[in-house]
Amino acid sequence: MGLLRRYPGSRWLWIGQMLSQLGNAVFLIMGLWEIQLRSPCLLAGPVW
Amino acid sequence: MVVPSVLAAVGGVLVDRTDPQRLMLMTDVLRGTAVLVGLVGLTIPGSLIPVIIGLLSITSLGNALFGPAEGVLLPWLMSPDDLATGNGLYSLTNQLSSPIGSALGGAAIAAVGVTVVFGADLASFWPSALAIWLMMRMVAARPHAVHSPANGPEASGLWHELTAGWASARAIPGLVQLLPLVVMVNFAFVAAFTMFPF
Repeated sequence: MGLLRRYPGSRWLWIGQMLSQLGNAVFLIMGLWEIQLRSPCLLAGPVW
Repeated sequence: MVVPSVLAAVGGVLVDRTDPQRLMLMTDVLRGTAVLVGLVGLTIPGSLIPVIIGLLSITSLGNALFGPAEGVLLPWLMSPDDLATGNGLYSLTNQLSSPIGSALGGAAIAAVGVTVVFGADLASFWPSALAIWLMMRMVAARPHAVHSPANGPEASGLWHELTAGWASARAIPGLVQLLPLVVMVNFAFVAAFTMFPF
């Protein structure tokens, strides 16, 4: 974490990366869940 | 869903040919805007599945470009001595985000419903865009041009770069031999997802 203190630009990039990927993961699990329940045949192709 | 998968293969080449900082910002803004539009679209009866499919495509598209751009930016932000540590930290965050986000997403759907998950996504993509914008203000200058018009992609061409990348991948022992296995595992997981509701 000392790295993030030494390089402020890196800190913002790390925060951006974390938030962006959390958002992706949350949405992916929600999307898969809803499609599984309502239209499972649509999952016959890769979604990630 | 096919388009983002294909784009992921050329994401690195696209990042090399554009400004990675702006690309990251634009992917976050695109995803944040798409989720906002999707949230409004949910008010239309029966629109949930089409909205989700559209948004999954857009978020995957963003991911295909965000990751390679991040890899390009890291050496701009820290000294070469710290680069190995930086790569480790970013890789660890990358690996942890998926299980943590999935657990949070699953719990949120079970507890509060889809609309709140859309709201959580808004609360991740827009602050992420803000963080990238703040990062852009701190990158004083590109330390070295990755590609200049004289010797860059304009000279070599997109296809040439793609084939050069494939040649580099083939040079890694065992990678090409493992690819069919990876594809089969991917199919198996997709089949499992499809069968879960039954």
